[in-house]
Amino acid sequence: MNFLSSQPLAAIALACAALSALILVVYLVRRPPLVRATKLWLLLGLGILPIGAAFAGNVQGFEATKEREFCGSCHVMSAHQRDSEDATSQSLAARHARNPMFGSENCYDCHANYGMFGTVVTKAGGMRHVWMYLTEYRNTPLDEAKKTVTLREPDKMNANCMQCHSTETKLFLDVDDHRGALVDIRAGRLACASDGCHGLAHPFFRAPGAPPVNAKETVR
Amino acid sequence: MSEPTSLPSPPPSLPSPPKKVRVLRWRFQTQTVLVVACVCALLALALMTWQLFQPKAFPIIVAMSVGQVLGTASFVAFLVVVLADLRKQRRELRVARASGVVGASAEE
Repeated sequence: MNFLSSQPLAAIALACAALSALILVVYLVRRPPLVRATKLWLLLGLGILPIGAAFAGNVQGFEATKEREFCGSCHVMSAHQRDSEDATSQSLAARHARNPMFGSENCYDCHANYGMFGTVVTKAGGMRHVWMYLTEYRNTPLDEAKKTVTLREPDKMNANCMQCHSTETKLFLDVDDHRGALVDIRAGRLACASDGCHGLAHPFFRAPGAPPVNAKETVR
Repeated sequence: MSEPTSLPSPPPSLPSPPKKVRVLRWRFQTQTVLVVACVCALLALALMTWQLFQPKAFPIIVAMSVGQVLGTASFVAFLVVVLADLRKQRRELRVARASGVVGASAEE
């Protein structure tokens, strides 16, 4: 009951699906002749109600894809998920996850593309993740995945940081390091999430004894 | 509006089956399509609700691809059956009017 009250779209989708299934099962059992009343019932059972269920279910599904639990459902991301949920972790990801503005959607908030078509571009990119998972990483042990999974476009990562941290405020510009590297930060040449600056977003990705990580090697 | 001559006549060697047989055959065909459509729709609904209870990558992708395709296909099949049925009714009505049987019900 709590599930349905907290997710009204899921409740709508379930109600539509249940009504539709009821109509279809009754039709399958009774097999009435195709008169007008049958057509209207089937229009409900095969058309209107399933469309309602699909619409509400898809929106609910898209919302679910923003959740950290969804991102962590591929085993290669489980370490990211655990770090984000660790209340004692000092990684950028974990610190942002503790911020209620990010909360359980912190993966999506930091990695999603910005702009009008940001969601669409992000979801299209997500399909590439699915493809790579199915073709390359499905059987890869987590420890090995930690060393090989990297950001595809690390240069663009700063743009996502700058969705919130505009680099324009006095507080930001009062820091000498920010002022000195402002052009490089805005161009994405100097990663905010790097060892010399704010630390890696997911620190466990550095293999023991690995050389210092630069912006190009910043992990996902 | 009478155009009985435009109707295709069956070849003399192959006499058309009696009306009752044609009606039964038609009903069997439409019912088969509708039964398949209903089963597909039930499967699609199951996939679409699966993602609600298990919001992980595989169920969501399956619901948004296979589920959508099955659901859409079943609805299209229903529309095709209904359109074909309406066309059949119209044709029968025209034939009935042309042959002078006024008030013949098109809906069997």
